[in-house]
Amino acid sequence: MLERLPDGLAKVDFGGVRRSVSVAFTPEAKEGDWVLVHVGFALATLDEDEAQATLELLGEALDAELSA
Amino acid sequence: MKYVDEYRNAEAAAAIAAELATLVDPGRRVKLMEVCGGHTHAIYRHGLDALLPEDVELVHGPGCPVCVIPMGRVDDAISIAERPEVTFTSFGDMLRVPGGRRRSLLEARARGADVRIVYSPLDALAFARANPRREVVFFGVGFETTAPAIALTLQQARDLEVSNFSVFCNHVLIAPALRAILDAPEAEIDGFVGPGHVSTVIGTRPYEFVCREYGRPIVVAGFEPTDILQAVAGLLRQLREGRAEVENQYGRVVREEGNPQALAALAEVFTVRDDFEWRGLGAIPFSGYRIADAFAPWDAETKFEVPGARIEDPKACRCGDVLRGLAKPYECGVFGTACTPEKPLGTCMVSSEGACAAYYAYGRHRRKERV
Repeated sequence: MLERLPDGLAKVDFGGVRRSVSVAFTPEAKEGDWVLVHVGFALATLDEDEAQATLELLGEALDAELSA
Repeated sequence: MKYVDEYRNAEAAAAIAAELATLVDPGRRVKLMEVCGGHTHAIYRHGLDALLPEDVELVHGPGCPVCVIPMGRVDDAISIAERPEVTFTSFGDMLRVPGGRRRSLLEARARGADVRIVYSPLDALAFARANPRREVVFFGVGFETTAPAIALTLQQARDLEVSNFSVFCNHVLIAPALRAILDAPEAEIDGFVGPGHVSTVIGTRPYEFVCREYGRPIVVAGFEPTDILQAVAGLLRQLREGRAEVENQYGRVVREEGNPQALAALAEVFTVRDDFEWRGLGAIPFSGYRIADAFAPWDAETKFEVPGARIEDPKACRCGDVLRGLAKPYECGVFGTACTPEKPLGTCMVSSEGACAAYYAYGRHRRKERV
């Protein structure tokens, strides 16, 4: 997410394409957060700790495979 | 892109796939349903079906909003769209869905109806405000993922006193559909890959009945290859250990309690219908939303007369069986012949989330093919 706009909107960068989306359902979202957008609405902000935890599980699967 | 590429790591996917083989007891056949059409597409796009052990079968569920709309509702939409005063707005993939006599909104448009594609319901509301002489109707279709967007749009229509905007509401609920599938004895599903995006709204608690009442595990999953493989591993682990629990593999966006703001909007704007007709699944109790009485001025079903006819699905089309996990797309006699993405007979071929469209696009034309 790039910046907050008036009327509950925010400007979001979709890997290059920029569009304004409603952040009415994600009042916690701030500049620099990753948001999940569906039909012009941010439904969730990405929890970076949880994202990291999932990646660590992947790392473990890879380690187990390499040491097997 | 960050938080996408990492979950497409081929070595990690191969490592999980190797682990999957160790999680199935020899001779045990396991049938898992991926509920969501987004998962179906990810599976075939990335060839994940080829990474699963022989004894693990994935079948496709009803989580494709376009797929489950019955033909009678499409005819109702067309009857509204054909009124001269109406500008009918919709997400793109509903336009090619055939109603009775294979007529679609796209054909209605070709005959002169004012039918337009919008990206967001807010765009439809903006069009209504800019064109006060047109009656602008939005085709509300989708699960709890999409319904909050329509709810917020209707709240804005009320706050801004936009009287020439209304919604033809066909929103459906995922949990009653899962129950209908579990109640049908022939499907015999061992566990579920739970839908990801709908769960950002409703959270993971609404799935607890799957475990408690039916003894089946469910793992809510993301949409990247390693997400889906991790979810399958989680299900196989639970089955081997005799557990049936709700697990959340998609914690980076799904919280147990869901999205409170979105749930509040749903509760204010919609009322659960006593029952709603689903393509292939028939009438399911308490499975759809209608617009609440307080929002009746913005309800297209109140504003306009619709035929409301119930139309049988075409006999040749097996969408209903595909949506319940009873048939694979290639087992349908018209798959890829009388029914193609260009000229679809059934909804599962129309939607970008439909199982038939996935099989067609990614070359699974006959049977499970090893890649």
